Amino acid sequence: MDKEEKTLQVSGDGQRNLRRCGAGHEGEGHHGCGEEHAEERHGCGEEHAEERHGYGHAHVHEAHHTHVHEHHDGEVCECPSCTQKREKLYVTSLLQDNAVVVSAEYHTAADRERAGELLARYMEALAGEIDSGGGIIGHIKTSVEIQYVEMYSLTDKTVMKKTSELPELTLYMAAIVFCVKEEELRCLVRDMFRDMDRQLHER
Amino acid sequence: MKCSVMEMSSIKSNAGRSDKSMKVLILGGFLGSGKTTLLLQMARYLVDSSRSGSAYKVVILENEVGREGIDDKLLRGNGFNVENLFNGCACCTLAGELVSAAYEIEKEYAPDWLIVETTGLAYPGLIQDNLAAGIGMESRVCTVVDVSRWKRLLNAMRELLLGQTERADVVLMNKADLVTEDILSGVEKDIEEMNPAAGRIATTGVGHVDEHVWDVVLGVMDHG
Repeated sequence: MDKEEKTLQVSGDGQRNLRRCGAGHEGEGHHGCGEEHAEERHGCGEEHAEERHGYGHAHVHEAHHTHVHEHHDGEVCECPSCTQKREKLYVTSLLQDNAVVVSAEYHTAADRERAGELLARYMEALAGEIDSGGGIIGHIKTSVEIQYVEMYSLTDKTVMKKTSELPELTLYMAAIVFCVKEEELRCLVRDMFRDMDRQLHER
Repeated sequence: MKCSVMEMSSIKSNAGRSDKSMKVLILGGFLGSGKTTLLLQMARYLVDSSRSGSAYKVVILENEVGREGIDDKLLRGNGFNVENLFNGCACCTLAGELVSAAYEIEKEYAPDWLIVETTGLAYPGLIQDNLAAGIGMESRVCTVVDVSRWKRLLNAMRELLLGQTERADVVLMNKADLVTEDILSGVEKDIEEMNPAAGRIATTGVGHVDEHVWDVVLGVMDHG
């Protein structure tokens, strides 16, 4: 198994002037992620003898079902009520045969109904973007873990109960898509969660 | 609980397995075909219909390609005992881990049934071969196909769909409620060409699946 990992810390400010992925920069090797990528194409039964990425490595595809490598982006969680002490948004991608597999973990404190509505809308928009670009969706799935906190405290004789106003939500997404560039799908998913985060917390 | 990974050399051949050994079903099929939805119904049927004294009726071994599991959370939330194989495919990159996990599950839980839900990219026949060659574990293969996307997917990835179908004992033609009779007949004809010996049953995972279907899938009853 050919596997490689790379971590990227992406600041919010640095993202403002960057273009969204999938905006027609074919062959430019730039996807708005601060990374340099040589051309990469995947999917639909194409054979690649060699594939080059901007991470300064090259690797040879073997026959069926053996090529897996991984890249990931991470962002530190800044939500005020966060107890998780982990990255707010963590996106990884890998190739499995001809499929691009993007996994994302997004963590926030927000109203669960509102988050669910936004998630459904953004997933449908993501599917539309993939479809319009000629990609074939294997599946896009997201599970949502919801954590409420209740605190029981005592300083004298009576126990006081306090409850968190908003639950902590952890969203796990897996998007498996064919006929799409790995970098493009990873950026689409990452941008989706960033947009969703903005909408969830805009006042 | 994550699967422990054993050295392959420490697994002894299990060719002398008794009739009461854990039975194994490999549930394959392309992404989005409805494997997990059908699995929930089948596992409930197995639990409800079991007359054995086993503490564990069913253990589900969930293999997912992504870094984080998605389906395992849903299955676990429905009360099932689920083991995970993440971030790789049980028919190739995680082949050794799969065999180790199956061996460990039989030793630790001794369930009536082990159901291996493959990734949508896996070739169930390879998993069947690995279980047989590694620990002498025989298994059945049930492949789920999405009839509503069959033609489109067949054009784009024929080899994968063929590979997932050709070794199946039973093919569930799922989402039959979403297509016309003509389309369903066309899919059935394609599948028959790929695997003439397989039983073919139309299903709709969103509705109740007849118990007879599970008996055929599990090999308790022939498809008449």
